Parts: sequence; structure tokens; C-alpha cells
Amino acid sequence: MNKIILGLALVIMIGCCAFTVIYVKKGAPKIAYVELESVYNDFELKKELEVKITTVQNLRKNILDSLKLQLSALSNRYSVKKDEQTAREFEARKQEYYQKEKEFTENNTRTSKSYTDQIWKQLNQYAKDYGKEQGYTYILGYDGQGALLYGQDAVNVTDAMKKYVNIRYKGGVSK
Amino acid sequence: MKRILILSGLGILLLACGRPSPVRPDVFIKKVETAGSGLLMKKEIANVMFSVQYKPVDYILSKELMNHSLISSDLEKRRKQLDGYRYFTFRVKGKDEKDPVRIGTLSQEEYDQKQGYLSSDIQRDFLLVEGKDSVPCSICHYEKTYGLSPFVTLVLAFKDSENKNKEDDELSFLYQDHVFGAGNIWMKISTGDLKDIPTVNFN
Repeated sequence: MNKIILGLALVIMIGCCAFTVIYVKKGAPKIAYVELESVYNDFELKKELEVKITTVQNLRKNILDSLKLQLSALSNRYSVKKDEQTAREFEARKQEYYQKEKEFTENNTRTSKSYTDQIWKQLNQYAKDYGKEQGYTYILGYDGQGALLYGQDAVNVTDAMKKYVNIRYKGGVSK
Repeated sequence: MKRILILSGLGILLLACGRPSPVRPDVFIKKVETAGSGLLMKKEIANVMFSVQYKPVDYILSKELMNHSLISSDLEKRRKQLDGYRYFTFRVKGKDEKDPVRIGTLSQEEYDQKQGYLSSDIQRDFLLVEGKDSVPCSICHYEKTYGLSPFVTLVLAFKDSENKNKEDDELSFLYQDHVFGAGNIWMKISTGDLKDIPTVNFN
């Protein structure tokens, strides 16, 4: 009799263990988080576009600096000569300078926004693909703004995500 | 003597296993067009699907033979015409089955500008990287459908680089996007996939 009870208890115990394992494996959501700033800053596309926009901005700055120099020279000439022709020339150059400065600022803002959009479009896509491939229910983004206050290091997949997005960006197949 | 024979037999067997055997043109076409071949690359960014089909010269010849635009006797002549370039078909498809050029387009003027870009300026935004060589696009043909098809198709050709057929070089394809708001689109064909391209038995 005792043996039967013992056997039954054993079967129930194994059943419970199996149920728990299956529940943990299939039922419980798989959650991880990534440090968004870190992933963003180490994303190859971001680095490439940053170089591109910095080059353009520097070229534009050089053009403005050159115009500024001409303005300064005209201003000096006017303070010595006080003639009308220099004054007119100074005014024309000043207008040109302000116009160019406005044009460049607007263009820089537009380009910067467009690049940021491109970076996020690709990052979001790769993050989505990464989540699906790794079987995550949720991947939370930690940005230091309070949306995620704490996460254990064990569920921090920032490094894995960085590696994945850069491989995918360069056309590699995720494995 | 026996040992030498066995060893050389094994060597031949290994070499034979490493090189894919020649296939019929129809089988070759199917193989090249299968995603598993690695010669058809796809990348989805924000509901826009970009795809690149690498078309080896044998693939183009097979296609032309199969649709009877080429006869067997002209095969070598046609091959000579095609040799010296790498060919690709670049395709962009919106997820909603609408004209992808309309995505993010606010006015007809902007749409016309994008169409103009696709017809000519887009050529300079393609690059093929092979080893240390970056090859610009030499031929670019935009298949105009006047907004009737749900995708944009461009046929591209890049001159062979000096690195062509070097053992360890993979092929990287780059499109620097100015129309679909996706940024740089890189796609890669691995060395293994290039090596695995079978030969075609045209007889």
C-alpha cells in the first residue's frame, strides 16, 4: 500500500515539474532590454551619416567664414575711406552672408532630421527582426528618461543587439 | 601502389564534391532565383522591401534560351556581348501593393521629381564593393510603369573589377537611398554562395 502511495506521489511530482518547465518555457513572456543610446551611437549607419553631415557642414562653414572675412575687410576699408561705393558693397555682401547662413542652417536641420529618420527606421526594423528571431515577447528600450527604471544585467541584450544591427546593416545574414 | 590509388581516388572524389555539377538551364534559373541560393537578397525597412537579384551571365543566357529570344548557335556570340560586367535587378516594393514612389510623397511635383531621379540620377547612388574595389554602376535602366505596378524595377550592370573571381572576396551591393527614406541599403553575397553557383549544361 505504502509503495503505491509513494509511486503516486512520485508521478504527481514529476507531472508538476514537467508542467512548470513547459509553462516557463512557453507561457512566460521573454523580456529583455537594450540601452538605446549605446545601440544608436554604435550603429554603423549613424557613424557614416555623421561623417557625411560633418563634412558638408564644415564646407558650408568655410564658405560662411570666407564671406565673413570679406565683410570684415570691407568694414575696415569703409572706416578709412567712408565712401558710398564701399558702403553699398558692404551692404550687398552682408545680405549675401545672412541669406547663405539662413539657407545653410535650414538645410543642415533638414538633412540632420532626414538622417535621424533613416537611422531610426533601420534600427527599429532590425530590433523587430532581432526580437522575432530570438523569440522575445518584449524588448524594452532604456534611455535614461524613466521609461525603464531598472533591469538586471542578465536581461540586458545591448551588446548582442549592437552586433546584430551592424551585421544586418552591412547586408549580412543573421545567425 | 594500392594506397596511392586509394588516396588519389579520394582526392578526385573530394574535388568533385566541392564543385557543383552542371545543370540544365531551367534548373539553373530556379536555383539563382531561390532565396536560399544567396543570390537573391532581400531587406525590409519600414514596410518597404528592397531586393537585389544577382544575375550571372549564364543566368541571362539561360533566360534568353528559355524564352526563345536566343538560339543555341548564337550562345557564344551573346556571351561575348555580356561578358565583362556583373548584372543585377534591383527592386523596391511597398507592403501595401501600391506604387512605392508614392511613399512619403506629399505632392505631384515631388512625385515627378522622384520619377526624374529614378530615370537618371539614381545611377550614381549604386555601388558594388568587391574586395578593396568599389565599382560604380555603368548601366542603369529604370523600367517605367507609370505608377501601374506596385514595385520599382531597375536593371543594373557593373564593370568587372580587377578582383573578380578572387577566392575570398564577397560582393557587397550598396544603394544610397534618396527616395524611400531608408538610408543606405547594403546587401551582401557571401564567398560561399558565389562559389556554389553551378555551371550550366547548354547542350
